[in-house]
Amino acid sequence: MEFVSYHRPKTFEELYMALRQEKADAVFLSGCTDVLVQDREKGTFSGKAAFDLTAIEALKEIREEPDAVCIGAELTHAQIAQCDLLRNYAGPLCEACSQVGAVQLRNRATIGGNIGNASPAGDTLGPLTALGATVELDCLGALRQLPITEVIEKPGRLCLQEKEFIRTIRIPKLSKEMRWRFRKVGRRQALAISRLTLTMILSLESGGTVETCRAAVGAVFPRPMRFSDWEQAFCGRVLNAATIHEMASKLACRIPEIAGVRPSTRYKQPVVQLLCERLLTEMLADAKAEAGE
Amino acid sequence: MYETHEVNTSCRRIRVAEKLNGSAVYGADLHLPRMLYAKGVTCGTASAEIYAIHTEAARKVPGVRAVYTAKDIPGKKKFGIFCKDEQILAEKYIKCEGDVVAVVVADSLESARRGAKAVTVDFRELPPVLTVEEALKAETVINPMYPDNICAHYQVVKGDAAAALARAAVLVDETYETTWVEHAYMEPEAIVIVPHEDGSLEMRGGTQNPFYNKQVLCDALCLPEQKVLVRPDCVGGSFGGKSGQIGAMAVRAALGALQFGRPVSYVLEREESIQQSHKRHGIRTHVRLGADADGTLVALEARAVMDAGAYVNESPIVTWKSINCGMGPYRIPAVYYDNTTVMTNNMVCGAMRGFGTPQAIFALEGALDELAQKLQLNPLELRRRNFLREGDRTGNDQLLQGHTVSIRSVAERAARAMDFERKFRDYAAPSDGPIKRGVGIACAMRGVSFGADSVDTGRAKVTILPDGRLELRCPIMEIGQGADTVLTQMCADTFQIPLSQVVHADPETNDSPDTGTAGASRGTFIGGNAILMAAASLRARIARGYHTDAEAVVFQNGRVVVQGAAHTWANVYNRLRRLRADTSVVGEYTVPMGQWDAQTCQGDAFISYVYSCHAAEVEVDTATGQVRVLEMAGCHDCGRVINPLMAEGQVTGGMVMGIGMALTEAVETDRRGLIQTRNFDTYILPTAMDACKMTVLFEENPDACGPFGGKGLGEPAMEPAPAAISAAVNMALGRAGSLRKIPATLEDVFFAAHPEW
Repeated sequence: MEFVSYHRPKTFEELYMALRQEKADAVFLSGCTDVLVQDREKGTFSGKAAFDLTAIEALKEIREEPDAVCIGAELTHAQIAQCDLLRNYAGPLCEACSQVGAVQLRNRATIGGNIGNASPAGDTLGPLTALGATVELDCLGALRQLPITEVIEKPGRLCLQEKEFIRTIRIPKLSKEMRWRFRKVGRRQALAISRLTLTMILSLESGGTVETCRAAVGAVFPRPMRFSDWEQAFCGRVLNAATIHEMASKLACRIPEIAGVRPSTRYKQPVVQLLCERLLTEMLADAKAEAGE
Repeated sequence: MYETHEVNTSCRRIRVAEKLNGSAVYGADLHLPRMLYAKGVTCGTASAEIYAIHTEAARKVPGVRAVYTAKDIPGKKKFGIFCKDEQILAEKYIKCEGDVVAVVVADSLESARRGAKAVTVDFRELPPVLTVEEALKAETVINPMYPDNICAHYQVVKGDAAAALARAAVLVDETYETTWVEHAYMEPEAIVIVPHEDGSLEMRGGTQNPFYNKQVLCDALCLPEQKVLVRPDCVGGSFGGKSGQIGAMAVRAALGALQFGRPVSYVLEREESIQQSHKRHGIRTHVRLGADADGTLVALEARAVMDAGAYVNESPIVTWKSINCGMGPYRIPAVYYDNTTVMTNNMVCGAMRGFGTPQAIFALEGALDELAQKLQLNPLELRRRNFLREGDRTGNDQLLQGHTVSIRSVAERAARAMDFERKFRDYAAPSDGPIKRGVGIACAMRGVSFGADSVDTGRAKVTILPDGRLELRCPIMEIGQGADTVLTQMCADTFQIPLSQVVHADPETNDSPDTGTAGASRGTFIGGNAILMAAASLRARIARGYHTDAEAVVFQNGRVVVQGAAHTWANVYNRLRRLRADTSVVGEYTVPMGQWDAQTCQGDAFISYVYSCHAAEVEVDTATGQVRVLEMAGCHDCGRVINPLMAEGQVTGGMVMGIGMALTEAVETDRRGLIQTRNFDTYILPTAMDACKMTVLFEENPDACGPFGGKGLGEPAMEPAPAAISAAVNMALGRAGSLRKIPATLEDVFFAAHPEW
């Protein structure tokens, strides 16, 4: 691996100073669990300057706001999975983090790295999308917010400026009425790169009609996406087997529309449809059970 | 015959502490003074004519000492067991992706890597032969010695199978297919060549076959046998993989060691290992299996084709073993089993645990399940009606006698341990919902050691040390199977001394006799019998030392009892030395040969057999195609179990290997024949979380021919596993024959469950 320089600042000020002085392209590192893999395959880091963010304690904080939870980019998947606050208000994210790779990986890999890697198969991206998360970016101290759907340009590429890094992720809290499910499909029980993931968030009115319904499909589209037209089309409709079937097939149809008809579409489209039906059916059954039916 | 104190105990494995705490030394751990580093260069093509190899730029890279090509090899540039066609360094042609054309030797690994990148090769790509069909057309000949591209072809012919099938009441006529599987040993290939001042060479690092490597070194470098020593370190797994290629690596590194008089380390990256090492053959088998209306088998006709890749390697014996151990433990009156192995520009295939049998078992057991389905019998019941018994004749027309034919009991025990028949009934009933369960069962009958058509000889050297301990030199390489420990246990009981009195000498090629490879599940059988022969020799030697007959010498309670008087081993040593008698003996054991017709593979195929049965239960999510193996049970009759804990480890490891082969493992190539699954992110191995509850049972019927009654377990431990798991998946999918190929991937299982999509 041929980085031209390596920096491990302890504060933001140290970081900005080192960034200003560095001429080579900056690469931000945190857990680094994918660094060696990429370097072996593509020599990605040749000639770049490494900025290791893991010593900046401020990037590991969890802050609760009235309507949201803000998590630092340097939090590991294990830390997120074990955080009660996040379990309560951002359940799908915790579930996804608890299924990343394997125990050892979860202790090192971070959410900032998962987003920064910009892999379509990144496990946190689906839940973050369904949760409506925004990402706070920092470019030499100038901060801006982007919805998660706008942070990744395409597989492996972020919409970030030079010397800009991911600082925190702001997740609007899920209310108590919101049910959710997260399902990952991989080829084995651990260390599995997701073949696809499905995150669903649902809330129902007392009459059994849909109040909110959100879905995010992972490892299928080139970027995290929400389908607001699909979500709105089902608001106010009664949730039953027929609606569920319609919702599921309309969601799955997005795959050939957006990702194109590839060999993998043949598998992913029907599986997304079947899983979506299953998750919605489960959540509907939960709702009925709670209502004492 | 022998009182056993150490055999059949789970004594501590040799070197287990070092292997656990990290102090065990493997090839890549060797850091010798003034050591240089070697790196090979490949060309990224499966077939090409080489015009020129340009090494000037590489030689200018700082730290690079030399770059060698084929012209630098003074002696034999090619090697191989059956045909010397494997190229140590490719000279005029590249025949497969793994062909190494040059080796760079440098001061550091980094410089060696940079140097290797700087080597350029002028070559003209040739259209590669990548399928069996293409190979059989023989428009392009891979090796002129095989003008039809067929490097092996064997047949079992017993009776008239075609005629019997024509009269069969029920017939299954289907084709089953497996693909390339990677050994995936935990430790990639790693050796160090150390030159000595007297012009001799020493090879260190990991190998499964030190004497073969030594031969290749001598032949390639024109060195006499006395000048080459192979002294292996720990081996981090092999499964048949660390054999011939290690010798090629050794020669490449030796070129640098000889020129510079400095040690040269040559360690492969995982991508290089996968690209360059040989693989398990994929076998496509067209099976026609016929039975009477009550399920009694009348005939088996199997036509198998294997892709050997670019070199002959061990394909001929894999072909042979595949058919002769592919007929299962069943009474089949008429058999025609043909396996044709062709050469292509694909990756070389050779020895891998099972040696052609996991693939053959998958095919036969799949056909049996489809037959059971047609007859509406449960899979175990169909097999029960056909299990071999003592006094029956096999597909080789071999009369089964002299050992317990225990397959019936073995299968019943495995099935019962998993509650197989009850689960089969329950899961066969229609059920709602997308989650389905299935159970599967598969049986195997494996011949002990190499078999007819090969001469299998083992040797053991036993030396009385001055302090009365016995040194054992039986260089069956310890590759994770526990050979060193097991041989030590058998040695202790042979001489009736405590385990602590046996000094197991690490295998090497100077002082240890050539006992052959750590393969064919032969280590216990061959090594143990050789130790027994050594004991007989030593008794005779001691007898002469005391002027008596061998019958008057008895090993008992840690002593040597001569005509009723007990002597310590130290005393015996002194007596022999005083008489200037040799305190070493070499015992040699050759497996007795029986009648054998090589044309029809009829006769005494093997001296004895190991009977095995695996049963598996899986859960399939038909909405996604995901398969979880819930439970497996295995029962093996490998004769007397020498070390129960290690034997159980062999079987659980074999089961997990089976899970991989059945569900996820496949080496994939692109249109140009280049390997796409270059590391373990894309070549999917089972993790600890994919393993399941595993019950391991042994049916111990001590074998009269086996040392202490032991037979062998290394390959039996694994060979029925993929078939059992595949059968369970098919049952979950609703039908035997749902999938007739392995691995049954996510997508395969999904589409088998959803033909509408």
